[in-house]
Amino acid sequence: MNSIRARLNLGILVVLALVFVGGGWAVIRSLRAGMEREVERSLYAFLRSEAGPILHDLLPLGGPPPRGPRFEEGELRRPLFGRPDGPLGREPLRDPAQRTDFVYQVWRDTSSRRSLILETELPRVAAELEVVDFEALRPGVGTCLDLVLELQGERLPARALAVRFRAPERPGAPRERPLAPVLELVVARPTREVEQTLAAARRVLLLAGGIGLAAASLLLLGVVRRGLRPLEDLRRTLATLDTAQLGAGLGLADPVRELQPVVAQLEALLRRVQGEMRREQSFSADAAHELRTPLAGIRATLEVLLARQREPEAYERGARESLAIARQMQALVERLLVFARERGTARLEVAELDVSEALERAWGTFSERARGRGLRLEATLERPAALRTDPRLLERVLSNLVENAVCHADADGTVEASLRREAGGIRLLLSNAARAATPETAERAFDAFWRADPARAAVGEHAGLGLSLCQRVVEELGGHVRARAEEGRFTIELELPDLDPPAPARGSPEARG
Amino acid sequence: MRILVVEDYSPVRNAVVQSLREDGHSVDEAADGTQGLAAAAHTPYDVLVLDLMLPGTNGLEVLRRLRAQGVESQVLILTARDAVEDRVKGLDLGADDFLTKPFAMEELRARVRALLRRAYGKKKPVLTIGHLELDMASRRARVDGDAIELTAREYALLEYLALRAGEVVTRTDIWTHLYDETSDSTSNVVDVYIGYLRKKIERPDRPRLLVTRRGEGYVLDAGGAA
Repeated sequence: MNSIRARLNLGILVVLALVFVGGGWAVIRSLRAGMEREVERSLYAFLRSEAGPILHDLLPLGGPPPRGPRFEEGELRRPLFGRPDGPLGREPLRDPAQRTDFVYQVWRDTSSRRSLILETELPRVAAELEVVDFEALRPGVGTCLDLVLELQGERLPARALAVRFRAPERPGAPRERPLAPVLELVVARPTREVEQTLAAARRVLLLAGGIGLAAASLLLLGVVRRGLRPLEDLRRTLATLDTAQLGAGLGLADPVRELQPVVAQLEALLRRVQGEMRREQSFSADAAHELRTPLAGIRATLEVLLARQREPEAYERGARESLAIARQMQALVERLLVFARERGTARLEVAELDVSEALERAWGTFSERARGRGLRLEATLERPAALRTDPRLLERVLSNLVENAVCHADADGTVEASLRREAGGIRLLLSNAARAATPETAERAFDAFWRADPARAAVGEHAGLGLSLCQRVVEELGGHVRARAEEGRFTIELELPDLDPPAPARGSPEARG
Repeated sequence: MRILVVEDYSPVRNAVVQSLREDGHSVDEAADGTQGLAAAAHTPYDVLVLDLMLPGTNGLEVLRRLRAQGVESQVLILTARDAVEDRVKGLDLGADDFLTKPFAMEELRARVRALLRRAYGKKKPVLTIGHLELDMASRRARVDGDAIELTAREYALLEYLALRAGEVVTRTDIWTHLYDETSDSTSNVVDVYIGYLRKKIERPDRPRLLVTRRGEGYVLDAGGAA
């Protein structure tokens, strides 16, 4: 179930249903308890009022015997009008309206006699009970139990009271008389009315509960829909969001408290995305810009060539020139792709890097070309020079700086590298002999390097995008890179700080600093 | 017309120079801002084709200094950046037109022609002087409606005279505007070309168009001998 609304609706409905069922159960339960107490009270009342005649029948208490048939031990009897009547079943009830539902059975304590007169017989549980005096008979004495009475072919649920008591002392009886006999009495009364009342109550409750639940669930739909409206508002806002204005926030006036963290996170995400987009756009713009000039070269060359009929040599010259520019563009594109891949991850991945080792690795990559041009590396490296930075990006920067030095240094000279660990970062100087380098060369080294040396650019040897991208990566790493040309040497100065993990998001204003 | 191309990237520079020369213009070239500045300061170029990203002195700086020195040449800026602010900045510094790289050579030639018309205060691409009609777009001349065959050099000379129709044009003017640094001709070559032109545009039954003012120069005018 993949919907908050459905979950809320179902959850609340289940809770409501539980409340109804629980409440109903409690009502029925207390109703039943009350009615059972009432039944028990009537059983005691019966006991107190009917015990006299029973005792008279069973014990010779003197005085005239009451009218009607005598009560026999173990007989299951039913009183009429509160008096003992004939044995049940032998005598049909004269008037069902006058019928009382009580049945009772009495045993002498010592007797083991069983009555099988009727279909049923009350259990002789009283034998396990404490013996009380007759005068002490009152609610709470004896024990109550539930049973099923079979009366005239009907099985009826019933409640019974069992007591064990000593017959009352006759006033004026001699003291030396043996103790009065102990009697066991079980009185039962069908509880069909209780069950019927409870069933009716249950029906009423079920009906009320059902209607209540139905009404509640209708209300609930509306309430939940209303409660979820802020989500819908958020959705609508997101759907109409202007991709050019991602960083401007969602513009939600006073979002509900539950949505505030979501909105805050969303806005932060959008700001990051916008930073990324801006970075990508400016990267693409730069790439396009770098490609425009050679493209203009090819186009202009070919258009002039085709403008009129020319000598075969002119065509050959034009074709060669275009080919050279095409090669140069290819190198440019490959370099751009490498950088695009390097910059594929949106965040800086900060780790520790020994810059001295990384620099030596970078030199190793170009050492063959350096030997070919008669270049030596003179390095004064502090080691280890551990720096917390993005190792992949920094290695790429170092590789480009070294490549630049190796390609552009005057032949047969030295490339000097000096690396120092400073408070909070590192400082690297990389210099090479370049007699032709002017302060302007240095000034422009980072924006359009490949044109500082048109002769070489034209033959496509070096695309020279390296330094401008280096500068950008270094800025992302929070550092600075500068170039200067003095006394015939071209020097690149690189300063990089330790980055705090976690790194700031790349492309965010803070990271650009 | 005399044009200076300042562009450091040689494939583009060579192609532009060649194309403009083939249109009959006299074209000088400079590979960086400093050279370009020096050349433009001492020669009254009709049009400057100026790249923005130049080593030495960048294009905008070259433009600023030239305008500060009172150089009135029409300036067409070439740039690989097409950001609006770059163009606005360039125009505000005194540039006359912009072209973004890569460009169609045809468009560059057309823009140069438009700038030339503007330089001489002409709006119409067809110049009419008496029975002579000069179409600057197709670089063709007609006399009494009949097309005449002109070499590029002859056409350039005629166009220059036509643009300054009614004025006295000195030999030096012609020399400065029609011959670039690579020309090794002597100054009487102008007289020779004027002679060729006369033969092609004059009609016996029509008033003279091209008049020599002895000691001054030449006048191309519908009024003829006036």
